[in-house]
Amino acid sequence: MSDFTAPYSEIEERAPSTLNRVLKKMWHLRMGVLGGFLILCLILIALFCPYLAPHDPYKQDITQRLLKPAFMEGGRAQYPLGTDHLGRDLLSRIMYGTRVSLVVGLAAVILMLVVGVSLGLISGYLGGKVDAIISFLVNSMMGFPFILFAMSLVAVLGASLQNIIIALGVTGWPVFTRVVRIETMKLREREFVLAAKSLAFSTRRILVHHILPNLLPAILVLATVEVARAIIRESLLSFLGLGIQPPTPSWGVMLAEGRNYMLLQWWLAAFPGLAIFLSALGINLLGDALRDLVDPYLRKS
Amino acid sequence: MVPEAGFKPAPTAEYRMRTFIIKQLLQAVGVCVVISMISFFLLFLNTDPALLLLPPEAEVQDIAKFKQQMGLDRPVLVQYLDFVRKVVVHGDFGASFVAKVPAAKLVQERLPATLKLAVAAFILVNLVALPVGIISAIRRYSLLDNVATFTALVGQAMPLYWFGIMLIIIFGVWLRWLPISGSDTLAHLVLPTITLASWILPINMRLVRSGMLDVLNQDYIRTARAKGLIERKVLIKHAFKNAAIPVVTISGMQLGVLLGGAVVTETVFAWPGLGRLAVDSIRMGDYPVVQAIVVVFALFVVIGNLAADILAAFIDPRIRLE
Amino acid sequence: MEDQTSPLKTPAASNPASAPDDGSLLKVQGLKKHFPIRKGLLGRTVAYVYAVDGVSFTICKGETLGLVGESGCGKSTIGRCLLRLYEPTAGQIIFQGTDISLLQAREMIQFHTRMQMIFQDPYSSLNPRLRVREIIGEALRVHGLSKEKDWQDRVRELLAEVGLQPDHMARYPHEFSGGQRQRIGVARALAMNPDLIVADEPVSALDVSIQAQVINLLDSLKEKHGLSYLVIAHDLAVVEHISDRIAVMYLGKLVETATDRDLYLNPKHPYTEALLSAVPIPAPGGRQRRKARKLIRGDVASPINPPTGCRFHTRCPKVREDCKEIEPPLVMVEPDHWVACLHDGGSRP
Repeated sequence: MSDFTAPYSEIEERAPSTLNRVLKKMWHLRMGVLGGFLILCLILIALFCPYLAPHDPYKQDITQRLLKPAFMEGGRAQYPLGTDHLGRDLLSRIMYGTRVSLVVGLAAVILMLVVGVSLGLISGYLGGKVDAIISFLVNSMMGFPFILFAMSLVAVLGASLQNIIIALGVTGWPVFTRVVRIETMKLREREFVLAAKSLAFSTRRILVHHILPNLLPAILVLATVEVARAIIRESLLSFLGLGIQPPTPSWGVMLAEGRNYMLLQWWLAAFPGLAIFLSALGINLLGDALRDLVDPYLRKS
Repeated sequence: MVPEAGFKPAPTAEYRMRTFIIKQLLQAVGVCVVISMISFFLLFLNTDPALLLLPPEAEVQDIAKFKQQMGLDRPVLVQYLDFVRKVVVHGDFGASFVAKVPAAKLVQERLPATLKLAVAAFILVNLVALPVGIISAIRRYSLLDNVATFTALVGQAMPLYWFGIMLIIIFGVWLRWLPISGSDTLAHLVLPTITLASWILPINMRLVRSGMLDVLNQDYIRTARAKGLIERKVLIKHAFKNAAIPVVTISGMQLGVLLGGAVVTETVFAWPGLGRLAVDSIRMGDYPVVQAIVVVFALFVVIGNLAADILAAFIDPRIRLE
Repeated sequence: MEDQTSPLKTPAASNPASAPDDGSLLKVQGLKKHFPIRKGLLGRTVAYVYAVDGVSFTICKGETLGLVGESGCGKSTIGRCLLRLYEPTAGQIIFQGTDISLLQAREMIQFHTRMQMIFQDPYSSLNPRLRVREIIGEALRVHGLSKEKDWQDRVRELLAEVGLQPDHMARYPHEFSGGQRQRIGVARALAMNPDLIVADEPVSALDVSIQAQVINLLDSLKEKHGLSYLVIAHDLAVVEHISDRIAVMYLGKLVETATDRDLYLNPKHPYTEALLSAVPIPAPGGRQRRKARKLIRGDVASPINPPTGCRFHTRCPKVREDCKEIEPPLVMVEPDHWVACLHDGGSRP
């Protein structure tokens, strides 16, 4: 660490020049574009994997088990990323895994949106006891580690695709409620809401047509991030054996299986994890860029 | 001028603090109650504990008799209250279905290992995040700042278990520097700690940085600067104190996150702590243990939040007014 | 609190409503609005903000009443209470013969269409996510005031009336200037064909040059639509042009009410005098109104702890001993000129 008694100007020196600011904006946009690109790949693979994948992800072939990826010695071009312990092609399984991740991520977030936004609107607009109850619920749930909550839910409901979505949705809605509530409370005092009230519009109309549209940018950004989180959480649960069960190709499941072989066949764990990482990264980058775009707009209006 | 009549004296600072603490305590208790209820009722939603405990050949009458013996045929609410009483007064969560020993004992055995890991990770996170965050803020847009921001961004997308596995592969298998499972020596602690720390590090770094930036941009500091008054040492102490507030607040919340992360980390590294116990118990349907762990975790989370909130309110009086 | 009538205007044929009334469009009696201040664990109420503390006035059909006062004196609160955006703590609001302060929400709906409001801030009074035509036309569609296909035509009409281009109705609020946005607000209020419009500081947020335009617009619409106005402002100059009568408010109570002319030529309350002396006067022709600046001492007292006796006594240049104890009632000292001061029509320097 440098000497702390240097004169003050050292801190001021690095104020961003215009160039720096422009670069920063471009950087964010570029990252956002990269994120968008990653997501696009994700979606395309999910849609077209029957045509893209070299093999059937479920097809087992014990004679071909634990093969190395094609780029290593002893690998075969037939199995670009090698095979798992049951002889299934890793690349194909990863590709089909995009479907699982996307479906779970999107469905879970939709559930969170429906519940979270509604409760947030009601809580923020009505205030009083209703707000107190909902806020208490939100605070309680937010403090509790997701894993435990979700694990308990899954323990009770049983591990399956639907139950994962339910578990994710149930643990995830407070995030939306908290944000929507605060924004609604800010908006509720704005004059155009008062005007709507003075025009004798129903509460439902005010919430849906006046307040909600003004929340959309914030909700959109949050939803994007939550999809990434949902994907990670799903794979987490599957990794722990509490989520999607084999043989369905979930990346989490593949990680769990791969872990048993990580001493020698490291690729079985590395590549599925890489897929999770890239998906989450892409979504986060896009979300960050979105937030940058949306923020000045919010401030302007 | 005539003085105004009937002014009420403003509430004193201590009064506000007391009210604040009481409010937070009540909320904490409420949370614990809610969570314990949920975990208890979850049990009854799905399976009948009697069926779990008895061998499969048991006849219907045997089941009924067993239930009566164990008190399992009483209304759910009564059973819940009984459960609460047992927990609060005796610390008795019942016996583990699998290990046939009191669940509380199992938890007690495993708790230190998890705490060791969590504390180590917490220390590591702060050790890194604080200096890096501060320097990032002071020397904005420098190389360190950019690298740190990039790392934070990447880190937030990184799945914890994958990171752990990759660490194992790289350091344990390829390089053979560190052991990969078990918990005997200090060396065993390294990889799990790094893994768990990575769960929280990105957020903390960003928080410290943005907190410092906020303070550095305050007008009162700028004025002091323009006058050439403050030396960097004093500034850092000042600015840091204010920037510390969001960090303190979130650190409290992070206890819960750390515990959650510990579940995963322990599974990856075969660390003998509560997390792994939780996963195994859930998988095997060992409900008393699950309940015990849930309650213990909830307690830690709640206490962590409470401590953080109070500390933050202590540092920044404005928080008490909310 | 005494009531007032307006002998200058003969009340037009009034709405043959249920209650016996004096032909007034709006009669407010003893209106109070107290906001509770809550502190502590259980949200106990420890004090109140006495925003409006017993206000009465009347507006006749076709009349414009200007309500002036400092920031925080409660005038905006009155406007909102009239439209039931706030619930009055006490008092009556008799609109076209019916006391609307007691009505349920469902019954209020019909009154909402007859009484409308124009808001202060042109930047937050229009929903930024809606197009202008929806902002103005939403009420038409929701309340069925226009047939399905006709509402756009009506919106066009309204826009033209307020001096905007009808083709602009597909634009968003942020594409308009402040003055134009206020006009949109006026159009929105007009859409419901109200009988009374409450204009809450309609020009406070606008440039001075635009203020006159908007006030003139309101004036011209008055004749055309048979409107009555309650214009709330903190600036006497603003209400002068458009008001028939003016009420001056201080700290939750009315201190003086008179016709426009009377107030200017013959102010009786020290507070009114001070307000008037702050109005910038163009040099020629202002001679009869030019007086020495009457500066008031001190800051506005708090509406949480209003001064005893006459609320103005802490700042009044003419304060006497009894002003601190007795609260002066609003009494008529001349025909249609009411003052609340112990110096009743008293000494003028």
